Amino acid sequence: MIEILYLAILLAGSFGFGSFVLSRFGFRFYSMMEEFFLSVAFSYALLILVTYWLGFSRLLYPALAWVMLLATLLFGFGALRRLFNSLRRVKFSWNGWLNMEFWLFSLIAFFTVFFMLASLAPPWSYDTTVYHLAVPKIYAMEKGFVEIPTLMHSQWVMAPHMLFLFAILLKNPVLANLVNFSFAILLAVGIYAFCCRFLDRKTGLFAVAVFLTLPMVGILAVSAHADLGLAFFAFTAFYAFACSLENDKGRKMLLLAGFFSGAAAGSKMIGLFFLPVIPLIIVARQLVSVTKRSLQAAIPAVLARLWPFFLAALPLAAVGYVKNWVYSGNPFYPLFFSVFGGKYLDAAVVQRFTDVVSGYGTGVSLPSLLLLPWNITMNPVKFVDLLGIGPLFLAFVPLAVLLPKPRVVKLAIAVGLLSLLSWFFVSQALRYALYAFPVLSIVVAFSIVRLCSALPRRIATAFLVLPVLAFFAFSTILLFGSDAKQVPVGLGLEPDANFFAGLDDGNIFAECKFANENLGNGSRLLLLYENRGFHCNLPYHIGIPDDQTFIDFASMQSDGELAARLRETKISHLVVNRNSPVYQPGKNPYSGRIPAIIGSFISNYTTRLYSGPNADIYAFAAS
Amino acid sequence: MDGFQLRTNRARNFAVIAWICIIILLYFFFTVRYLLEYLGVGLQ
Repeated sequence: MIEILYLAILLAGSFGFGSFVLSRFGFRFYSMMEEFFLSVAFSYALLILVTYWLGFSRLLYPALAWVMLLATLLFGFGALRRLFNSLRRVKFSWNGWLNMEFWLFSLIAFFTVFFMLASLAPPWSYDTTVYHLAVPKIYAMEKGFVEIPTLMHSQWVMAPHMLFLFAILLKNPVLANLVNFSFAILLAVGIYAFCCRFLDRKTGLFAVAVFLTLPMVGILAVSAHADLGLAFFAFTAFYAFACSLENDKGRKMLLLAGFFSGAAAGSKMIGLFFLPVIPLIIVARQLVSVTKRSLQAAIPAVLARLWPFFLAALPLAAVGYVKNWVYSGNPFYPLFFSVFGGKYLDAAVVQRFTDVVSGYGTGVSLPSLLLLPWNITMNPVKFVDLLGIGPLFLAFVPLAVLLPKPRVVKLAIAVGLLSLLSWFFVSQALRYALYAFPVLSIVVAFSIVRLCSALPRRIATAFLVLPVLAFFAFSTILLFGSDAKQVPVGLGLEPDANFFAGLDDGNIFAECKFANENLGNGSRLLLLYENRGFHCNLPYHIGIPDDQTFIDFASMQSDGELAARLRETKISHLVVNRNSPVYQPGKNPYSGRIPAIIGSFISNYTTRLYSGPNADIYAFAAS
Repeated sequence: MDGFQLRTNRARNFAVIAWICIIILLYFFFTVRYLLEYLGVGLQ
C-alpha cells in the first residue's frame, strides 16, 4: 500500500519538474489539467532518457534515483503550489441522481480505484514475469545494462521499462506496476483535458469512460506491460499535434509532438509505425490546400515543419535501438536477421519468431482489411485477445464519419485509423493496437454526445444511452472476473504464496522462493521449459530450445554435450517446469531428440533437491 | 457533403438507432457465447 504514496511523490515530482522546464521554454497551457498531463509526460520521457544513460554508465543506484526525484520536487515547488491551489478551488455541484455526469464520474472513479488496488498485487502475469519486469529487475540488481543471452525480449526497445526500472530502484516491482497503472490514469486525464479544450466536458467524461471500460485496458492497466506506455506517448503526441494546429505559435507544440512520437517509437517496435502518422497528416493537409502552381512553394514549407519534428523524435526513438545494437548487434533484434545478424540467433530461431508474430489475426488481404472492424469487435480471440475492445467503436466511429464534426474530431479519426492501419500490416495481436484507442474513444464519445443532442430525448435515452450503459455494466463485470483476484493480495489480506498457488498458470513462484532461500549465492539456475524468471533472485539462464542458440540444444547429439555446455555457462541447478502452459515436452518443437537428451541429462547428471507444485529443482554436479 | 441532419429524417434516425442496438446486441451474443465456452459451459 505504501507504494501508492511513492507513486504520488513520483507524479508530483514529474509534474513540478515538467512544468518548470516547459514554462521556461515558453509553453502556455489551456488548463491546469492539460499542464499536469503534458508536464508529467514530458518528465516521464526525460526520465526514460536519463535512466537509459544511467544503465549504459552502470550507475543504477537507488540513492541516485532518490536524489533525482528530490531534485525534481525542488525544481517544481512553484508549480506544485499552483496545482494545490487550483485543486482547492475545485467545487462539486450536486444535480440529482439522474444526472449522467454524476454516473460517468462515479464509474471513472470506481475503475481508477479498482485498477490501483489490483496493481498492488505482486507481478504475476505471463509476459510481465518473463521480461517486462524481469529484465528491469536484472538491470537493477546488476547496477547497469548487461547482456542477457537467453532472453530474446531483453533486446527489444524498452522506453516504458526504463520507468519500471526507475520505480524498482526507488522502491520495488509493485511500484513499477503502479507506474504502468499511472499510464492509464494519465491517459484518462489527458483525454478529459483534450475534450475540455477542443469539445466539451460531457464528451470528455464519456470518452474517459469509453477508454477505461475497454476490456483490454482492464487487463493491461493492472500489470506492467509496454502497450499502455506506447498508447500514452502516442496520445500525448496526438494531443500536442492538435494544439500545434490551433495557432501560428504551434511550432513548439509540434516539437513536443515529435518528442513524444519518439517516445512512442522507443516503447515498442510497433511504435516505429506510429512515428510517420503525424508527418503523413502534415503532408496530407498541405497537399489538400495546395494548387499545382504553389506545389514548389509548399515543399519547403512542409520540410520546415517536418525536420524539427523528426529531430525532436530522434533521441527517444533512437536510444533503445542503439542499446539493442550495442548488446546484440541488431537494432531490430531478432528481425532483419539477414541484414544485421544478431547474437545467439540462427535462421531457424528467427523463422519460428516471425511465424509466431505474423501468425496472429486474419492476414493482410483486402477482404480481411474490410472485415477488420467486425472481426476485432466480435471475434477478438482471432487476434489473441480474450475480451477485446467492446462494441462501441464499431457502433459509433462509422457514425462519427457521417456526422458533421469539428476539425479536431476529423484529426482524431485520421490518427486513429492510420494507427490501426499501421498495426494491421505489422502484427495483428489486438493489444498491440491499444495506441489507436485513446483517440478513437474521443471519436466515440463525440458521436454519442452529438447523437444524444440530435435525436428526440426519449429515443436517445432508450436506444442509445441505455445500451451504452449496459455495455459499461457488462465491462465492469468482465473487469471483476479478470482482476478481482489480485485485490486481496494487493491489500495484504492474502499471503503471496497462497495467491500464486491459486493461479492456474503453472507458475514457478514456490520453486523460486525455495531456490532464493536454500541455494548458495554462487548458484546459477537454468530454467527448462520455462522463461518466467522474475521471482528468481539468483542469476539464471533460460533453456527454451527455439528461442536462442546460447545453449544450442538443436546442435547437441548427446546428454554429455549438454552437460559440457552447462559447465561452460556455470549452471549449478536446473528448474524444470512440468506444467508450463506454453512449453510442453512432446509438442513441437519439444518432441523427439531434444527432450530425450534433456531427460537423459537429468537422470545421468543431476540429483533432485525439491519438487514444487509446478516444477522440480535439480542440482547439477559441475565437476 | 459532410454529415447528415438527424432531426429532419425519421428513417435516418431509425437506421442510426438500429445500427447501434444491433452492434451492441451482437457483441453481447458473441462475447457471452465465447465466455461460456471458455468457462467450460458448452452451448450445444
